[in-house]
Amino acid sequence: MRRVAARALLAFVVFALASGNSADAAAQAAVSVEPAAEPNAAPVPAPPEPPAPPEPPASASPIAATATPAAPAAVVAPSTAPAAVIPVKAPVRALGDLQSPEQLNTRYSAYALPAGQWTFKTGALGVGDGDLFAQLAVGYGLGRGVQLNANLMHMGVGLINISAGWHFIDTRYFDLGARLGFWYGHGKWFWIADPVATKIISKLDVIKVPIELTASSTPTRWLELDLGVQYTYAKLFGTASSDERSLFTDSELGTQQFFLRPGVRLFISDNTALEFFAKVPIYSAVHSDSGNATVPFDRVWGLEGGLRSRLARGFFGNLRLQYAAISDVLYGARLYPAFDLEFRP
Amino acid sequence: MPRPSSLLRIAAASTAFALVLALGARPAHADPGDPPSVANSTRAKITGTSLRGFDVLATAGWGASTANIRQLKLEPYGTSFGLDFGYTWESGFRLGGYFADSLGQVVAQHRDPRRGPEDDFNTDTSSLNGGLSIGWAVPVYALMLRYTLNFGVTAMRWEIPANVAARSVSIGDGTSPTIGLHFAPGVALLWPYRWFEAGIGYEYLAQVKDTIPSGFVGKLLIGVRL
Repeated sequence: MRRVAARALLAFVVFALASGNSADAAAQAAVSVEPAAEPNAAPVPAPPEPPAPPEPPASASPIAATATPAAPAAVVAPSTAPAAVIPVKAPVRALGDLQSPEQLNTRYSAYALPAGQWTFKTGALGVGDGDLFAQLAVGYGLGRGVQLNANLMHMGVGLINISAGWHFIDTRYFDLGARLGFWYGHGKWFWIADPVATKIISKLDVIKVPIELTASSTPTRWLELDLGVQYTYAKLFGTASSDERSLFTDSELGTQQFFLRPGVRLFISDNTALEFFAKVPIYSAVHSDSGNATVPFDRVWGLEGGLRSRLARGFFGNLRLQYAAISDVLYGARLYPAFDLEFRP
Repeated sequence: MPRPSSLLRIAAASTAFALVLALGARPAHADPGDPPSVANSTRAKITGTSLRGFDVLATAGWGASTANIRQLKLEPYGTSFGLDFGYTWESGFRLGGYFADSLGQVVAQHRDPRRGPEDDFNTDTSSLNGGLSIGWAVPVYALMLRYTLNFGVTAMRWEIPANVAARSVSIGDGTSPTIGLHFAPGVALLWPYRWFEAGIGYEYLAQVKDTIPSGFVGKLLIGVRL
């Protein structure tokens, strides 16, 4: 296990270094998309204009007429002309693209919400840590790359699910972030399961602590590479037979895991991206009071592909197809869809 | 593991919440005085000025089930024909309806029960699907990407040889058609040109009733935009 983990970490470091060094500046320049204006960006002064014939008073200028009182930038006329200050219209906030800080997808990436940014997300049929079954999630960017999340929907069915993320390396071409989550499931609260499962689950409690390190790199305007390394500590408490525990094994609620999650995002336009991810488990086991059981690879690996679009300003849609054994357990088919909608006011 | 009806409730609740978010969302339009942005320019390329309009599309496609029902492999989708219609607002939000007739497939089955003789027989299933569709259209260059979430009813017709059915092989409550609810996330990439519209798409019919298999349907769409 240690050797495998060491190899995985080595591969991760190699990927990180390669991503940082392979930035394609030429491609960046070639694929020109209007950059997003920072929320607090300073106004850009207008370029100086050539000397012009005498003009009407500044107040009659169409520029001045549309100027906002707070616009601080100004252009001083040439010395030969009457001294006048022509206020420049404050730059409007462009919509930007899906790589803008306020529009980046924080799911499976190193990124975090900007300071003071809220996010509200609703969706269903997911298989990941944060969106299993359904989500009604709230997130908030505290600043300095720190983000807090809670899935209220999970709390509604008896699972406490909270997490915190920290985007601690933020460079132009390479980013690194970490996430720490905490799950507590009390079997008796889990009302959503069918009667047979409810009877079994009611005997058990589960604690799960996912720890994730994710590297993200955007070598061009149309490409983002992600690689996540996650270790999940999980333990079951209570009495149940090994057959009954298979429910937790298959649903991965009580599965201790170490896995890699490579992914790629292709930004096909300013408002839409294709996203592909794979879950590559290296070690999976169920640890409980009555012993440990290793879970084979073919029961825990998974693939997913999807689309994410900005539907309106601050409103995002995400539709995915996932192929995984866990989908079969949770929803009755290995190939299953998942969707979510996110609102960032 | 969760009850299918609970999943439907979750999906319905999520959708209702999403609708609230959608109604509160601002269209991705700049103010009149704004410089042209990429989003605005791509939006302008589609249908001249806006996404708004009523469209009617004929659909044809092929589908496959993604799950077995009690060790029976049923294929109620197969070749499918249908109709998709709806009104799209300026923001991209779309409300509409759909109807599809899936011809299904005949599938050879082999059953080896713990008691009694083995059975080799054919099952013939097909289905009708229809309901309400909620969607959102997003301009992508000269094309339009349309996300949809459909809510409706599936009526699955099935036929099992009488001699096998007599040995307790049946579907649902034993009468055909079996009727159940479904919800279907999907996406379509459309090319709108004046009043004409055509494209490709897929939807995943997640069935709530556990005797109707969920399925994936890919389709071609062609129609008019008024």
